[in-house]
Amino acid sequence: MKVVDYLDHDVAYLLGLIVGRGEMAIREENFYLVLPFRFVSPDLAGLDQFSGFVAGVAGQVMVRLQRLLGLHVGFDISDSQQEVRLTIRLPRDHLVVRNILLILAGNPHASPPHYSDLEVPRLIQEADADLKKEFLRGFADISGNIRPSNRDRTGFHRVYLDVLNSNWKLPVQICALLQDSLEIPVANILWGHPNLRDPQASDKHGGLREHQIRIYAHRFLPLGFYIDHKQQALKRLAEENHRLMEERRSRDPARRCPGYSARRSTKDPHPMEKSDRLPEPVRRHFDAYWEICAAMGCPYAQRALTQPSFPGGEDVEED
Amino acid sequence: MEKDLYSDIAGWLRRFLRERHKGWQVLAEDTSRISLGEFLGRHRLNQRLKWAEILDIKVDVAGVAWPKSGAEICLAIVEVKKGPIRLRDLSQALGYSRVAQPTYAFLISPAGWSGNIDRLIRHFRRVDVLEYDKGRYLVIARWDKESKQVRPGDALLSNLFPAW
Repeated sequence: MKVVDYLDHDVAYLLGLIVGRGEMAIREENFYLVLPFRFVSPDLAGLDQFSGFVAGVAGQVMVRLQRLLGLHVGFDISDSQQEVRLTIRLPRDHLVVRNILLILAGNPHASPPHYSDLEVPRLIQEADADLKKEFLRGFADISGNIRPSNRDRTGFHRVYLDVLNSNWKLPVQICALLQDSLEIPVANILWGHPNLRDPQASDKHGGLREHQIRIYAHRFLPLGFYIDHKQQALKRLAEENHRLMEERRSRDPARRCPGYSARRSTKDPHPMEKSDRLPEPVRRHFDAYWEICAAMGCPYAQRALTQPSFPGGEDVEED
Repeated sequence: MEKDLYSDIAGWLRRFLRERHKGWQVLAEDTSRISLGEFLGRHRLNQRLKWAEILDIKVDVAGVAWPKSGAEICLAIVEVKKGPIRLRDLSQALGYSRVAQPTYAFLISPAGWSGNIDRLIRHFRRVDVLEYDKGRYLVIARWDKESKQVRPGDALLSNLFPAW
């Protein structure tokens, strides 16, 4: 029997939210999905209020999910005023639950996958560009942030899509979706690996932080955020990038990552680089971000590793 | 000015049609100064739509997709407003849509839509008023000036945004 699952723009957006940061569980006869939206202050005048962020999540995301799922969408704000959570509760055998599990786990009656095992669903990888974009907008709404401190060393602003450290498969998959399918260049990925996050090995127990997929703000506009608060910050900083290019008469800093960079500054050995908390493919020493991309399946980086020399570019580590 | 948006909107409409009708011929342009009938006639597509010659209505932007072989045609119309879309605008766009019966019909504004439209469609759930042909709905949406597109999630009802 051929298994057919349902996908439209709203479902693609929901899948992006789930893969971005969703926590799923089945308790008794109910399926629970928690979607935490962390507030990252953009440090921009008029956009620093948590209330504006809350209004964005309620007005854009919650309303859309309510239309998709009925009124089973709960809303609460953390005591710390740093997070808004949407909670969806549905009967475990609900058609929506079966559809989500079929798409994410390959079986409508499977246990919900843990965040660390979530991947870009094959259904999305094979979908039309419009649906891929909606998936990525969901992903960005829940996991993305933009603020002036995300800028590169030359001052150009970037969006960061954060992937929690426990999931090592997603960054390369999201990068491929952006670059290969939608022609949105990814500047680089700062992996949450001790060699990149703590290159001087100054913190003996640290270095296992989130992975950051970095995209120049002006090149992220074709996707954008639906949460208005983030979108306003994006527009301002994308404009700033255009202004900088004009002022300096410089070329667009955004270029498609070819899977390598020329510089491989040698990193100090780190006590955590062989930690059991790292998955086997990256439980070793690395000197460049793209070596990790190769270890995690990027075909361009894998090809580059077999080549004797690499043309221009710059390595990336903790700014 | 509304007219300043037409060229970008025509560009977006071409992309929209290309994605949904792969391998078909596609065109879209500012049609605010000519009637829909003239637009189809100029491109020798009037034979493909029975009532093309009587379409003396002017929409802001129109697009068409058609196969290289075969007599089908897919018409798309876009009405553009500068300020928030009001009930009066909705009535006008619905009228055009009912007459022309395009495959896709959009009513868009960079300023979104008014509170009354929101209440009518979302609160009172009068989705029926958007249906201009059997199973075809007028899409009310916000035009994103920066990225020059209509995003599905920026539609008043995202589920009515044509997926295919």
